[in-house]
Amino acid sequence: MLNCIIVEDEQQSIDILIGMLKESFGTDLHIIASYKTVETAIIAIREYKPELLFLDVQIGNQTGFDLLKQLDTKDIKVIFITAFEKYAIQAFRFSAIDYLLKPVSTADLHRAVSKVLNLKYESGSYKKIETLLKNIYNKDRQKLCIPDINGFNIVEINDIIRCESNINYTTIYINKSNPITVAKSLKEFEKMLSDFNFFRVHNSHLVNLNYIKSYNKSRGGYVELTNGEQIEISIRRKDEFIKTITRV
Amino acid sequence: MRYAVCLFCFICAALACAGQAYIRDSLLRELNNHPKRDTVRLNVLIAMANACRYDSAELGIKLTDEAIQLAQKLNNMANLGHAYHLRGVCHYTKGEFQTDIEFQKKAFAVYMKVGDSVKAANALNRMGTAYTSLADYPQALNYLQQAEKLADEANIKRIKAAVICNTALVYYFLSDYTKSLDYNQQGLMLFRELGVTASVAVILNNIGDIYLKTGEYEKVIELNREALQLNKISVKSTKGDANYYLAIGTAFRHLQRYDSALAYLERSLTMYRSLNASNNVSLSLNEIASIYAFAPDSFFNIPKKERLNTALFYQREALALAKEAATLDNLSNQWKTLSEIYEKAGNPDLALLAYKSYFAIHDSIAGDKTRKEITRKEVQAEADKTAAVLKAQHIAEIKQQETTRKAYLIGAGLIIVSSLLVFFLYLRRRNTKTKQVEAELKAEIADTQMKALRSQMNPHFIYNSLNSIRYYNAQNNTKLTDEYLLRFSMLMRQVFENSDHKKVSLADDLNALELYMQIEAARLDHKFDYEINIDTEIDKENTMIPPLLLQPFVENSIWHGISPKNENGMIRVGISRQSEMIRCTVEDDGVGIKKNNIEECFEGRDKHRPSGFLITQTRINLMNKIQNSNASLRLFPLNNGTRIEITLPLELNF
Repeated sequence: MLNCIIVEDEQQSIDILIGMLKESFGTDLHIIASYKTVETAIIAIREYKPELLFLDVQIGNQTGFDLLKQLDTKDIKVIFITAFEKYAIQAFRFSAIDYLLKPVSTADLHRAVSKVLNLKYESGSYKKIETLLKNIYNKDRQKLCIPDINGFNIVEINDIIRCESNINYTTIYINKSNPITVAKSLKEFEKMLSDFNFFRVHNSHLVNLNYIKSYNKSRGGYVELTNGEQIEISIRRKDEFIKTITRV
Repeated sequence: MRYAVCLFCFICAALACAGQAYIRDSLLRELNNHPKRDTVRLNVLIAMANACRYDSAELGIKLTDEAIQLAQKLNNMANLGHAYHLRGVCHYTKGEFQTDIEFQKKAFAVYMKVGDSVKAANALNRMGTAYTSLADYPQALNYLQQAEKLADEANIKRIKAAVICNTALVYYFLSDYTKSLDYNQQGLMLFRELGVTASVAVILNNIGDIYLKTGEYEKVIELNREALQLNKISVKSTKGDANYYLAIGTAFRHLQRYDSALAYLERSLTMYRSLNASNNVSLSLNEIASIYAFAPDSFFNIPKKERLNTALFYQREALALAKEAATLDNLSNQWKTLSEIYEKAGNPDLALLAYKSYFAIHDSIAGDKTRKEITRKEVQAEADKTAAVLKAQHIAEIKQQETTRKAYLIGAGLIIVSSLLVFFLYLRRRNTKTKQVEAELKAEIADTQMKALRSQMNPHFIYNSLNSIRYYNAQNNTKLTDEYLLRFSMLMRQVFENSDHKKVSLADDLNALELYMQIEAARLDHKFDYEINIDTEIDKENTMIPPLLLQPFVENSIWHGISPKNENGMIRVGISRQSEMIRCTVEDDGVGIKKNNIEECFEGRDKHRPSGFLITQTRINLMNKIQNSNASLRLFPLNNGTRIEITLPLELNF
């Protein structure tokens, strides 16, 4: 049995969630209580020490992250629920944290909770939350959680030189570190990183513009990176690339 | 044949005044009353010398002698100059031209010393005149030129006019009538300007002399008549009148108007006689004699012999007077006429004798003439040389000016051309910039419009979907409501995400479209099926299309094609490639559109809300404008349903 607390500022949402949880998990899950403000939730969490937290991103004029910041998260699992907070979704992706979108589908909820139940004793997931919080509150040094077979790596985005697609895998080249290969498409990385001065110069290449040393028009156009690598630029991306790079 | 009638009058800056005898007498009295050798006496001496310089040269010389001594003693430079000058004039009157020149030189030196340019120029002018009389024309021209220069510098028009007329005279003697006429006319203008009537009259007479030489007798008469008029109203000089009458008479003789000729000539004769001007008397007599000798018989009422005797009578006197006083020219001419008269009178011996005399003198004159001719040539050569030098200088100057002007022109041209160039470049650049900015602005406007159109898609979805949810709810089907709602929210999420971008991948857009069709199919209780066919050669991840392009047509197919139909329907979405274009089709087997309803499709049923069809058409038009492409939207009413076709330029992300 898993003790859980719901933090959500809308009563209707709370009711729906409780109904869905009871229907799906019955007694496997014990819902201690639900809270509508960050302050009351913190007191309750410290008091009851739940194992699982259903946490809405937007709570009044505060956020779920404000709540987490004030807690020792080592022993707590969190399932985030968000409506459409773009920045939060990006942060979850960066930290490789699961999240649910409102309106929450029964299937998604089931999957997320089951995962928590199964990984009850998994250690280290708190690091993901640490990363998440760092990313939320420290905009300059954004970090990326890159899962691998053994767990995950936390990489500073500024250190990523480039990403290269390899069918359904993506290899990430990191400054002064070994490359990591992830079972994620390059498109996903492009979605995450395009706001961080990354540019998809080619179908197979996503490049951090900060690492570009020079651009050469010959041979259909390629860039040389600070590590000496030469990356081909797709003809169709050339104009856009030049436009972007000259803006930088 | 006749030789020149040399009626030359030197023009002096200081003209002789009338009634000099009276003045002279009063001055003499004053001089005697003032024996003291002082400035007053000096002034009187000068004034007296001035009065007698033309007709009492001897007395003048005596007077100026004393004046020179007195002026030197009193150290009165101005009067010393005057004394020298007058002394020279007196010598000139006596025909001692060389002596005149010497005194004029002294006068010139003194005048220059005291800085009296006017008098100095006048002295030079007199030297020119003296040299002319000496027939030393080069020297004459030399001094006249100096005089002219000085007159020019001091801007004394009166002296300049005199100098010019004297120059004209030199050229006259050199038989260069063109130049002489030229100078005379210059002088005439200047004197007219100055209003010196007496000089104007004299010059008119001189010009007349030139015309006598060139045979333009009418002009001679005209000019001398004017001179007569002027003389009457101003100077009233008897000699002047006599000169003019003589000239007019001579002209009339040449015109064979002997009546008039005789009248004028006899008048001039009387006048000359009264003036004791022997040379001029001889000239008049010669003319008259010629008429008596050579006019046609019909003109005279007297017998021929008597007529010829009269001629001889006149001519003998003319000759006698000429021997006494006249120039060689005149003298030889007199002999010649005499010889001709003798011949006519049938006295060949005397004629021969006269001719011999003529010839002897003519010989010497001929020598003189040759000399003159040589001189003339020399003068001409000198003048030509000077002219050439001047011309060369002038040309050089002009050339330099031209070069300078050219340089300026070129410089100015260059400046203008370059500034024009800069201006045009600037304009062009500004134009390009403006155009660029305009284009960017247009693109931006179009983008914004596009965005607005994209977001217009959303309300369609939302309202229709909300309607469906209400429908399920009304049916009390909680499960379906919930499911529908989840799908709807998923679709909304995709739509929002997609409509944020100008272009999305075909895969993303088709995902949304499929989701939409699923939702609608569920809502219509699976009244229709759908099929999405994509050509294998199309890479749907890499092919980019405007988001939600096909959705409005699928919506139309569902709600206006299949929904009103009794049976189940089918919607086929096809994506195919045609060379560099991509063709998207939506086809249904619904009730179709009636021909007269096609317009309605474009305009929309609700006049206040544009139809999906119209919105899409506008989007395509805008896209064509922005990308300069040739995308199109076409509607094909089928026998059984409707088909729409959208053709877009194939756009790949990579």
